[in-house]
Amino acid sequence: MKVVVFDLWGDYGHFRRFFTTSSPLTYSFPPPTAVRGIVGAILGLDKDEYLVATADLAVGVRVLAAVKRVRWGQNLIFTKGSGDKFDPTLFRDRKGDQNKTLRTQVKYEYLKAPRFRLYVGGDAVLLDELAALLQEHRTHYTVSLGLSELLADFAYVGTYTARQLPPGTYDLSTVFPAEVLDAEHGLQEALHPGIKLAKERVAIYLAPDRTPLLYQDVVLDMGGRPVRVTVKEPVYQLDSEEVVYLWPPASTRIPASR
Amino acid sequence: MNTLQNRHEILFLYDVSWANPNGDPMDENKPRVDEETGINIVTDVRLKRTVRDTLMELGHEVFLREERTEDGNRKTKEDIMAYYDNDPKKVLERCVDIRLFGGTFAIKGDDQNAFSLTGPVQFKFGTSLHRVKVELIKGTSIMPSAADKRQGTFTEVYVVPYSLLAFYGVANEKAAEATHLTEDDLDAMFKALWVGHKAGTDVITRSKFGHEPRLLVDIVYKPDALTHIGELNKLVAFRSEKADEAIRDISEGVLDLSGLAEKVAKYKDKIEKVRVLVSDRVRVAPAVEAVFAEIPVEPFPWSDET
Repeated sequence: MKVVVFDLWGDYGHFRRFFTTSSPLTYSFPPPTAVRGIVGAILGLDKDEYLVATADLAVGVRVLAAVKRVRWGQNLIFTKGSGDKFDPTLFRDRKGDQNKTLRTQVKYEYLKAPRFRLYVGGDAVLLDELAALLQEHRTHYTVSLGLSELLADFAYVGTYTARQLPPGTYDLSTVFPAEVLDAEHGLQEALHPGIKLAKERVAIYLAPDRTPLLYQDVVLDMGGRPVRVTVKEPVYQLDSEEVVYLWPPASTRIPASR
Repeated sequence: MNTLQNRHEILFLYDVSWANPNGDPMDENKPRVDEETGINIVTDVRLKRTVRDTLMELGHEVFLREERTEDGNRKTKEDIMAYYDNDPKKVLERCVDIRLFGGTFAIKGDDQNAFSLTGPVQFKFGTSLHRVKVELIKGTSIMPSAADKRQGTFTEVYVVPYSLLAFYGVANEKAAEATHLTEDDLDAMFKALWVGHKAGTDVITRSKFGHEPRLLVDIVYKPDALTHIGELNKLVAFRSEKADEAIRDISEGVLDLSGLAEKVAKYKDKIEKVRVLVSDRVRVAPAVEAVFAEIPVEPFPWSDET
């Protein structure tokens, strides 16, 4: 399988955890769904198109910089209008609550100076186009880190051939789902002083209407280092020697009836 | 008029003296400071608020406007309700801020299908080009705190003695199709950026007085270039002999544009033209002409008016 690899970074990132709406917390890395959106933005695919267009791609995510978080309050427009209707107005007499609240203060969590390496594998035509744009630092839409105002910069790393490796013990440089770990020995060799593993539950696949189709617990080292793990499912080795986990296309994991 | 055909990359610098550029409402309204680096932060929404309010002062129609006076409010409310009820597309047609920054709309009777447009123009959070200090100013007010009290009360306000802030933004030509953003809209925004930080009503309140625009750069790429330099704010530096926290004025240092010059040289074939405005007391090195050598440099159409 051909894999296009590129880096993505910025001052701040926010990849919202699915269970937080009004107190926005962020994941430590862009979930695979966000990677598809980023690929879509570079290729110029509209919000309504990219999920379908990128469905056959395999994606992987590597955390390159130690995960740092910052939190601060932001003053947002209170959007509950009269009759509980959504109404993003600043006119007091149209506000729905008793106190006629105009603004609401929300504490946001951001990733600070995040840096990721993204792996996109599969469909040759789409990948050639992606690699060509990345090489010339071109994009159709503006690329961001989760929210539109968190503008991102990016750099092409290379195009590699990925060879599937059998289950075994490897230094995985990317994040990976906990369920690929060997039940008995999965993390036996990973645990050593200094390592700080985190597990975050993320949506892996979305239906075209954005209904989540599969959630998984995803494991990463908060220091951004590779983790030595024993896996019971195949992983990939690039011709750069790096061993990565790639989420396969949705069709291989989700029954067509969904 | 056609929608935007060229990608624009924007760098805007302004400074703040003894004022609060952007308080954190959940942290005693203190100026936002990155505790690890001492860098001052201003949110993109603060900048867009200033742009929106200034666009209104310049006579443009703005959707997300502040309530100002009882009379004005009633009239505009009728107006806004009219387009709101009829057709959100009309909002797009008439309100420059939605064309610039996007927006989310609810359709009457159908809460579930609000539609949202990503703004073609996006700004990152602004960051200061040097470490800042935060000062707590205490004072007394003459207003008694309760009816039966005779004395005034104490007030506290957090300010930064000085902060030179850089905002970086991109106007994307493809996203412009969805909101019908035009070159004229963008020119209006640039003017609002400059005028708004100079004399807009947002910056003449007590907590904001002391804002001054310093540098505005608009890099206009050729149509279909599909590229931009990225992170322009990282390509400029403020060099001063003083310690960062001791800087009090733009004249105490030189704005180093050599990083920008280097990148611009690499992208010169992709760039159609550049528009630049520098305020009087700013010293830049190398000179603007040298930074954009071999590229047409123009003033903004409204430069003479400011």
